[in-house]
Amino acid sequence: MNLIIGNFLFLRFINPVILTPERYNVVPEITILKKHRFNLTQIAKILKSLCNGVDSLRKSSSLFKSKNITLDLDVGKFFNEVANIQERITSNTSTNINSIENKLFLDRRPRAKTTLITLNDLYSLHSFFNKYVTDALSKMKNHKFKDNPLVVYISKLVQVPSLVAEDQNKFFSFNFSVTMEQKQEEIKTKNPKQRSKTLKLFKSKSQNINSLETKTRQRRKNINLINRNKNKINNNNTNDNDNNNNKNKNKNNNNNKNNNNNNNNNNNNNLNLNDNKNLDIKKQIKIQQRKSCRDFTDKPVSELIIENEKLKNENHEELIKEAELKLRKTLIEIDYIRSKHCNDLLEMLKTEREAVHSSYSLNVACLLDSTLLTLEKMPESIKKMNYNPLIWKLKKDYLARKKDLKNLVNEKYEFQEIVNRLQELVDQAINRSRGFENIITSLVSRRFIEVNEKNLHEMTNDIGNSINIEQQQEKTLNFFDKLITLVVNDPLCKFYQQSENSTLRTIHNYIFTYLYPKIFYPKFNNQYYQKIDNDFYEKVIQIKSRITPHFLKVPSEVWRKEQWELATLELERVNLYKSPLFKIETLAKCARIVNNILLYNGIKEVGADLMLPIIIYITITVNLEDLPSNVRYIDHFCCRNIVDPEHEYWFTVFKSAFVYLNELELKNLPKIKKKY
Amino acid sequence: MKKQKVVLLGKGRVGKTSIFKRFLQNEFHDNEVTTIQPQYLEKQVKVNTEKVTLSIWDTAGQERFRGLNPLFYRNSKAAIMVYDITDQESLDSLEDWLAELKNQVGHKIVLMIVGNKSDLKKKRQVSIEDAENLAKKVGAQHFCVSAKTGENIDEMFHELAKRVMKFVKENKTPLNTTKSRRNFALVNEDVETKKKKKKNNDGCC
Repeated sequence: MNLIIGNFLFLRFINPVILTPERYNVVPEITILKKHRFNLTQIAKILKSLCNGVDSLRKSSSLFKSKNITLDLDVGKFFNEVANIQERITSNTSTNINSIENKLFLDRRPRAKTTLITLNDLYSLHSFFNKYVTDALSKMKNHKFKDNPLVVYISKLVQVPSLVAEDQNKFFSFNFSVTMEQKQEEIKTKNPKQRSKTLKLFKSKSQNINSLETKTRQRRKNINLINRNKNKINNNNTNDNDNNNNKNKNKNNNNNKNNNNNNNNNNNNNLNLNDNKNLDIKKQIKIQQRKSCRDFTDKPVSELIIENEKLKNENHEELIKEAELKLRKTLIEIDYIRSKHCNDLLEMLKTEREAVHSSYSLNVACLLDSTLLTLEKMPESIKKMNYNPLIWKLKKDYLARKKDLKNLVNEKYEFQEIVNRLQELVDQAINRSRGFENIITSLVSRRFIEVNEKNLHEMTNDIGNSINIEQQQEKTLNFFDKLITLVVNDPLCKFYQQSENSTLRTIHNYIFTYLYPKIFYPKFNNQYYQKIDNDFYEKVIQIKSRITPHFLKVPSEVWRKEQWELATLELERVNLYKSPLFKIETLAKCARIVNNILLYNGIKEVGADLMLPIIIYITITVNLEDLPSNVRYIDHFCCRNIVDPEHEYWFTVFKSAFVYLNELELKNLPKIKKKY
Repeated sequence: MKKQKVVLLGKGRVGKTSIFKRFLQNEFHDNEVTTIQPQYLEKQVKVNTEKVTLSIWDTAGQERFRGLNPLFYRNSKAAIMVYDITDQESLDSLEDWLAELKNQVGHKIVLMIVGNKSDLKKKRQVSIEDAENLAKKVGAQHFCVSAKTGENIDEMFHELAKRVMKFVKENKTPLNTTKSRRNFALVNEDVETKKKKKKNNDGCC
């Protein structure tokens, strides 16, 4: 006992002050050095060990190892004094309530059929309610404060009566015939509807009695049972009465004695009634139940409300959890589909590998092996995630669910958190799918190229050797027709239809790296095309010297050289790429940059009317060295089925700019005065 | 279903771009517009139960760029000819456009003749009869719309999508390859003419 009190006192209150006096404003503005601190800790140690007893003190502290110092201190006495002061106060408030709680709610043992509650217990309960009602109710948003029955009830009580002297502190006995669990259920049930369930319980009991009565054969054996049942019912009734009484007491503390008398009368009545037939008992029970119903609706206890609140919260959480579970389920389903898909793919690859081993080069086999390995080694989670359409479906699902969730969840709950969590899930899935898709497409296209290497080389050579442009064009077109059919009929591409278009693109780009030198400046007319390019280049230089943005009716406020540098740089990059697809993409990017610049300048309505002259002017300023060849190259050899229509639009815009410049006659240009 | 190309034609200052913008505003929510460029628009339109994707191409209407427009016509399934109801000239010039269109594409195209700025009824110069007569002559459908108030815009595009659907179903080409070949042939001619012109130019200089 002393140990506990001492430890508490010294550890929590005294030692902290000794150790860090500057914090508690004990010592004003003194910087404490290490030495000081050490000494302080020594003092604290001694004090601490004092509480533990002198023996431990000798063991712990180096100060007392010499045994010269003897301590004759009765620390326990001091502690007792400290503790004794507070004993009375605690006994009257908190401990008392705890005891009531223990008696009423926590003691679940079915044996405890009776409990004793004193008057002071009731009073202290009352004061307890009075204190914490506002706190408890302010936490609940759903109820209006004034309408709350508990508030009404407590306001009726007016004052907390002062505690009675111990002589007058009477005991009231409570009978608990129903087990505590049932009791608690009853307390939980605030609604009359749920109350009716307990009513049914009682009914069934009495019906049991009836049935027992009707069975005459078992009468002798059952008499005892019936008696027991009767007793039970009797107990129930008395119990209910007692409950009522308890509350009545709470309600009208002043009329306590009268109530007691009434209670006794009631009890007597009940007992008398119980002696009558069961049917009468039934009626009686019903009446009593109704009464108690009223009582319950009138007087909900704060615990009850809090519990109800908890229940509500749990409900909300359950709803959220359900929604989340549903989402998880869909995710899992999709995962399942994906994993199936992936496994199929793996098997396909394996069979493919065997075929390749027998017929094709080692190169291809190695490539296939490595890809197979990566596929097999890939973590299960990534394997599962792929296949965009499913993901989009998932996202749609998620968005729909989001609305549901919004409806379900109160403002109380941090909805955003839940949403964020779900968003993360979806994002993860999408990111993974992208990575997977890239792997698959590269794999499929590379495999395709390696497998059809011979054919591709023959075709490219054939195209390179053609005599004139028309032949070349026809050959490339035929070639791409064949390629499309090949890709479509390829077992892997067919299997993975999602990637068909992208594999076509990658193959297209790959082939053009070989075709480019043969096609861009064809062998047969090499000089002719180069001359066209050079002529055009010189012409544009001349145009550039004579033309101002004003001539093309580009609004002057739009045209500031610094701003357009980005666009011109992008356009210059066209020559870096060999594949026409990439070239077209850079053109589209350039157009996008121009659009952004215009938007940045606050021009909202950017139609083609404005866009075309700007693009023409940009092409003039950039003056690509081989623009005509580029246009011809893209126009002739780009496979239109693959091109994004938006990119095609921008290509035609640039092409029209080229045509405009090409057809522009130098005579019609304004002359610059300085030169003449 | 493949994307169907639609060309917007008409004189400058007639309001092509604003029609475009209005259609965009009606159909899209604010967050989705950011990635779309105002000269090219792709939009799914529902016709009954089926969906058509229209890719609409805006063209420049100035006189000086007139010669470039044929580049844009290629492969287009439909053309929206826009005129201004307060400007008689804009309707007259449509006839030239039409002739040019027919030269380039032939008769196989869905045509729409659209009178813009129907909110300015007081300043009206073009009679509805004239426009409708023209529409009848070329087998087009006539609409009066207002890009400012959004009147009739959605209806017009819906009708367009309907007719394009019908048109595509009637003129099904078995494979895209034949189309592209035709396309290339056209380009070829162009390039050759350009070359000839270029030679002339060279001579001049």
